Amino acid sequence: MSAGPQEAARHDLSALRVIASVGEPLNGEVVVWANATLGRPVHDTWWQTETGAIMIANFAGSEIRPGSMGRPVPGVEAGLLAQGRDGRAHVGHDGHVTVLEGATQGELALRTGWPSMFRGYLAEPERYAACFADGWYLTGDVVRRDEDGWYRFVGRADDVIKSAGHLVGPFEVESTLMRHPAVAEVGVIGVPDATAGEVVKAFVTLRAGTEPTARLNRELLTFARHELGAVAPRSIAFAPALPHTRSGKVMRRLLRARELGLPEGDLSTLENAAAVEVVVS
Amino acid sequence: MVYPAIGTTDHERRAALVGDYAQARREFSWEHARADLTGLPAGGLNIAFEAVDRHAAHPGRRNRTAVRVIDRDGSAQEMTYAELQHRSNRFANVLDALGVSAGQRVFTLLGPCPELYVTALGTLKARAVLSPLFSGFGPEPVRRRLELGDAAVLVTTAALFRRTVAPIRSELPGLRHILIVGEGVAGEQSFDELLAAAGVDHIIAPTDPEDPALLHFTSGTTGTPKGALHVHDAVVAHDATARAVLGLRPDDTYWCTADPGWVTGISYGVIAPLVVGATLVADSRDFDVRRWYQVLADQRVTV
Repeated sequence: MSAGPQEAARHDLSALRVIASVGEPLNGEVVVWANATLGRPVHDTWWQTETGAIMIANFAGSEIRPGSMGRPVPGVEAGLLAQGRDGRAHVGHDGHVTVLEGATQGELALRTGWPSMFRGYLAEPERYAACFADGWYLTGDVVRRDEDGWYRFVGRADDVIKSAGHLVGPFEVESTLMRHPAVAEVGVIGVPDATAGEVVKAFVTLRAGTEPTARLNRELLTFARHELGAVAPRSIAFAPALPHTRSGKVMRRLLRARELGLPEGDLSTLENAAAVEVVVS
Repeated sequence: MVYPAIGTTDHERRAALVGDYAQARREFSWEHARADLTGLPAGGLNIAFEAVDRHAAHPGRRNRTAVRVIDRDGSAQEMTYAELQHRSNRFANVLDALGVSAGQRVFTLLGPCPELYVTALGTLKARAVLSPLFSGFGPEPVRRRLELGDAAVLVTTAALFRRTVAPIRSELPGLRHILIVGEGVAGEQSFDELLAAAGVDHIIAPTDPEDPALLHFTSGTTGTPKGALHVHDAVVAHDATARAVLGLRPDDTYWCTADPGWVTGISYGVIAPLVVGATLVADSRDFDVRRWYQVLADQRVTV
């Protein structure tokens, strides 16, 4: 996207029939951009290493809803489960979960039994068992479903930010800021706050040629407040680069650890070590 | 903000497997999906047989290009389905000769190169478990995964060996064989020589669909690495989703930009396109926007 449409126009892409994306959930912006620039929209999909194959998708040859991960693959039953206080699906004393109906938000779960479901974590049977409840595989992702049965990614159950009584999905905040023309990429975290519990902080990289001025910072805060209301970021920091996993996801966990001086944990999937230093300085 | 839906033409919808979502869901069953695959002559289900051997046995498909790897200098190396069958047979025989038994782990530390595909499919034929490592990893994450996965064999290149494996070699007593692709390394075995010396025929032993096939490490954005284990039956889902989600067909030229050291690079970069019988394109060069468009255009990539 940063290379602009001129580069795409120089090449003959007429053979291209389907473009699909996995990994980080796609902002609707990217889907619309591809449709305009590459001549085909991007079919976003959702899956995890554990699910072994794509589970939710915008199907080839079928309608696309930009910003949505799509609908469950035939043969896959998806459910949204009521969340407990820790953000994860609530499992009662009787071992049962609460399956939510209709348009709602909850932890995404999949009925066990599809062929590519993982059969274990190596040498960690308890960790494996903890992924399941009541016949469901618990994905750890919080997802919203609309009245037509299309799913949208909200955030990881454990990086949902709790701010002044609101549950804020970092992905939603990031997607909104991405729509501002000056913004290239965003990583959003929760920072502890005495009154609100947590407040939302956004790390922003700018498009080439855009200066990180105090004025632009104010403009972005205003833009976010206008679009997002109460869940908008309280503060925005400009960064030359953000830390990514090698699969392209912004490492929010690392942004947060660095911001708060917490242990950094396993960094073996970090793609660009330098970015971490830069953000903090 | 919600962007408006992007529709399709009637023609596209009719050609698609999931043109009518409700109907597709109603009519689908995993048993039907399984029936689209061939199954082993000796019994059971093996990913490599579905991905290679059944196409190689088909007169119309055996000479179709299975894999086209674009080298660093821009030239291409190709393998037809018949060639891939022979070379993966040889690698399965290499593993047998090395005493690697069903269920033992074979790791790859390779970028996209012909040997990556040969190793992956040969490993599955021998019923060993394939575990890919990202070639950009440093020594510590590689050591950790080889140790957690109790690696019996590692396939890598001399350059990656020197950079990533040599510093940790002495800490991995359980790693019995390191096979070096291309230019050799003193004290380790040559992949190319072993392959050349091995027989070209291999009959896949009966494989239970529940036999382990793939080990993928994940740490994602949270926690410590976990080794997620998958079985041969997973190929049913790779095949079904390749066709329903990606719309993949045998006449497609398919490019998966994910590195083969990650789950996507194996499931949708190796297994899915080959099971469908398409031509897969891989680029061993680092990402560059202009080249990326060039590959799409020059290779006439369709998916």
